[in-house]
Amino acid sequence: MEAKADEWMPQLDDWELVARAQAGDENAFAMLVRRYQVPVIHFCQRMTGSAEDAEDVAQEAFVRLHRHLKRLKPQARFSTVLFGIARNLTLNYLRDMKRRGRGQSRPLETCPLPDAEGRRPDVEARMGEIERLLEEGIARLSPAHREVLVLREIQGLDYDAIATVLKCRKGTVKSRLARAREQLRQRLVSLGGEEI
Amino acid sequence: MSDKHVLDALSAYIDGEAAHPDRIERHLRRCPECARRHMELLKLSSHLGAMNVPEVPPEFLTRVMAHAREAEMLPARRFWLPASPGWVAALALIVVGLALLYGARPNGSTPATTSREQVAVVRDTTLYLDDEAVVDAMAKLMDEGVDLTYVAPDASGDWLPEDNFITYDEMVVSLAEEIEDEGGDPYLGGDTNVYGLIDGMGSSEAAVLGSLLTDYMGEG
Repeated sequence: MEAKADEWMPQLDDWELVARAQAGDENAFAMLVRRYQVPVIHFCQRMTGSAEDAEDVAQEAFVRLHRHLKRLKPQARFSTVLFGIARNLTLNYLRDMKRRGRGQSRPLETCPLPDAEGRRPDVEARMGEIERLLEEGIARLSPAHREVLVLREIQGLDYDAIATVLKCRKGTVKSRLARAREQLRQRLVSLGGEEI
Repeated sequence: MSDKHVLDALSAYIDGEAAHPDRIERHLRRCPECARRHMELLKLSSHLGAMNVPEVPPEFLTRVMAHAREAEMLPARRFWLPASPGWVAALALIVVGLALLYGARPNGSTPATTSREQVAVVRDTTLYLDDEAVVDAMAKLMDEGVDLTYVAPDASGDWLPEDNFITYDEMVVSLAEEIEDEGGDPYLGGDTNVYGLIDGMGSSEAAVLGSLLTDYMGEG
């Protein structure tokens, strides 16, 4: 049922898809999910430190988006609305984990290497090591620093978009991001990544 | 320029968000220490951007659509805050923190002079049991010129001007930053962390905030 829609829906921008979804077009909503499932799950993974839980949180984010479709108005970039929902859910998740005594986010349990075809084994090993150190460093950041870092460095949002997601001022994004980067740099050094 | 300002400026510079990139470029040409930091930031950024992207299982979309349909069948969720003493106190603490934060900020968008009204208003909203009642009551007060701030557990206050709305989570983050600025560790400090402050109500910090609350509310 969605295959036919795929032929023309990719041409529509996010808010056009939202408008169609608001009118009851399930294919349009499915297209939004396809368009954003990777970035949203990735964001949730980095925030929660759990690949499995990240999928559940991301799923809930899309379900909530669907539920609030009627209230959405094209006032900001659509991605900021979606990341805003995902961000609230990940903070709730971290709070619940904290209450249950499971502490902070931890490095991802699984870390498959990207396509390593044609790459020298020593380069591949080094990249794997860097990724492990980065994951550990990110997991040790506070949620406030982690979220701003992930939104900027991994999701590529600009400061205005991040400020919209976090509902804070652009200056706060700037200073929080600088602190997050510095803390991550220091953590990497302490974890043995001095030459990164 | 302080160390913090240098870091802020370099961080914004690599993102193309610096206010005066030409000045930073000139500085980088004559300051080896900042040039080294600049290179480190670029490398860090490059490594972060190259991190693995998760593989999404094919059934993810199916699951989302099924849950979305299922959720649609349920009656609309009523937004409510239980009016239990613990919740009211916790929310009031958040409001005190908010008022202190905004009151202490010279360019804060919420004038400290209206904070007493804000507290009264936000407290009262805890007694309403659904979205519409809260919206109606607050819209009426805003029409009357009350400069209020609404604290909600999620984005359900997005009908308010941005400066008048803050989520519970944003409040937690703000409080965390305050604690951090004072040298504490907001997330690792046991009862003294932000969640302990807000939820625990038994820590010494919560007692101090409770005392502030009493004064602030004029009930002491």
